[in-house]
Amino acid sequence: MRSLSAMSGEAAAPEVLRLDGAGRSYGADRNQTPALSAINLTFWAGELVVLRGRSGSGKTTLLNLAGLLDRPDEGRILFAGQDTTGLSDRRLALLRRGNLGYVLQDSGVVERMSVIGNVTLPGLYSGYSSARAKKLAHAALESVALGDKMHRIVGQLSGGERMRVGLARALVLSPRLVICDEPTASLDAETAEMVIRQLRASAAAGACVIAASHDPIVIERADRIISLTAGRIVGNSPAARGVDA
Amino acid sequence: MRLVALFRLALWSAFSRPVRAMLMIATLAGGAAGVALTAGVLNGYARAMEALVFGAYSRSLVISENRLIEDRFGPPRLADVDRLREALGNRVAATAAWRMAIADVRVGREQTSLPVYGVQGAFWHEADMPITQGRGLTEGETAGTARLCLLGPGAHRMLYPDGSGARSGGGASLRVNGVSCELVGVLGEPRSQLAERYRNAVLTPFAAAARYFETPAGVGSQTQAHEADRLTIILDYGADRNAALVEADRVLRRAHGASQSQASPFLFADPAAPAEALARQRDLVTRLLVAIALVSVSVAVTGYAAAAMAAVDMQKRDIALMMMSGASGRSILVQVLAEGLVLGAAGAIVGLSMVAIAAYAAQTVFQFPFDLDVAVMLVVLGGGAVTGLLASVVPAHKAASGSPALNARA
Repeated sequence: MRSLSAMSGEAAAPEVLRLDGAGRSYGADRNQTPALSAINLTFWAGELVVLRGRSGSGKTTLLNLAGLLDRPDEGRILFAGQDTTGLSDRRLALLRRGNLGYVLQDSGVVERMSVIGNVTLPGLYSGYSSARAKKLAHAALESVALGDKMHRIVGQLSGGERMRVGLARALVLSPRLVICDEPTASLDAETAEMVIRQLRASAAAGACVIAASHDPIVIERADRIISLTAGRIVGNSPAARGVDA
Repeated sequence: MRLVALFRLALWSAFSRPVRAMLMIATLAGGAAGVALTAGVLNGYARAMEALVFGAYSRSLVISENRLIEDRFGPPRLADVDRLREALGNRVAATAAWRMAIADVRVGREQTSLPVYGVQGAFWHEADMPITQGRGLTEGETAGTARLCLLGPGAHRMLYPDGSGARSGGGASLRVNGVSCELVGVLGEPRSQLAERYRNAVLTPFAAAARYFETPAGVGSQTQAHEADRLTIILDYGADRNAALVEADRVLRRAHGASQSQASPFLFADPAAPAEALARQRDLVTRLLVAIALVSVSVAVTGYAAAAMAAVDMQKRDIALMMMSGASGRSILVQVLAEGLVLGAAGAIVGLSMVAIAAYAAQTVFQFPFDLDVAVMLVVLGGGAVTGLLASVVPAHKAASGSPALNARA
């Protein structure tokens, strides 16, 4: 079982992400609705953190901010110690490249593209040669047991298989931060188990995994659970977890 | 991201929705076909008209003696042909020397006065008529003294009402100013307006003609044996006629001892002038038709741009997912622009292919003049690609500036 000392921030595990008083509102001027307010959180390498909360509690907004896909209206976000506040869109995109992987609820794959095409994308955008990007994609697809379906069009796959393609794409470059939005929702138990095993393996390899989830199978494998209500953190504690993957 | 990979992604993106891609290509193909068809028809008609009226004459220097000046330097000489060839170099495509007189021509009992032309060199550029009986005169024969002759179709009908002549297989002879001449061939209908002047004429080698003209009974030429009534220097395509004219005048003045300060002892007919007037009219019509074509192109471009914008909306989730996979806004921008470039070029190629097929059919079935040259094809191809590119600028910016966080969940 992994040491919980990292979760309190006292251990030697490096800091991956820090939200420092980050807040985000939607709407214009007087009609602004705060989605997140004054969030202070630190995420460490090697931990799997689960975000919980009802609909509208700010989980997705927090995932967007943590995934450097959105900018806070207030406060700042530091990725690996680097303040991202003043970065241009291009610099932010470069920072995301190879450092972040995303797993979406609906798998987040390009439907009309082949399986191998989807998983090759992060390598190609990171400047790898086509051959190198394909080699990495092959390995990632083998790890999710899709080695025999590489050349299929994603749209022809089942929901579980698509999720595995999305997972392979998110993890293909061994990112430092993996953002997951309900990664096991609508999956059968066997596929959900495979997904959570992969996420745990990624954390064990040194990545920080942040997952918004209500699935007990994810929660019981988490290192830390953060609870959100109305855009505020109401709980941030180590998970009472008995089994490590 | 490497450019090749980006281009492949653009190709994938362009053809991942084949029906949309085909419709966008068809939209641009219509515009490209309109432009290519307009250019091809205009070019074809212009060339056909120019050839019909002037033949190769419109790019010729036609040199004759200037009888209007006080100091006489005589007509141009055969030796001037070599001087001009040397001075103008590879700008000269062909040369011909001409002398002409009216002579009595007799065959049996038939006798009539006809123009007799002594020719040397490539005379067929001006006397553009097919051989209908016998054979023509070779360039070597025109430089010799053999008493051979060709008849224009009108002259042939006058002298041989029964239609015989060279058809008998050679050996038929006629007498020009009392001197016998072997008829080797009969010319057919003139293929250009210029060639009409040889319809009722007799053509003989230049040197041989001197014998007919010096016969006391005839109305002889005023020129000496080595002098020509007219020299024709046919310039190569693309040669600057004005520059060639200035240089030819300088060479001839020097050869004939005329100073540069006085009026030229030679006249340079400007056969290109009517051709240029025709070309100006053609250009005017061209501009009008091109304007119409541009309107159709602008309609095509508007349709294409709207389709491209809609395509970006359709693809915004895919684009967001690519951005989440590491694509920067610039990568997406280049990718969408490359997609526009590919579809635009494909539209131009399809349009040109349609025009080529239509033109082939029209030429074959209706003998429709059509001339689509390589330059026009390249312009249409480049124009199609650039149009596709430009029409994609706004959609590309829209795609590149979209929020991946919002669009990925769209």
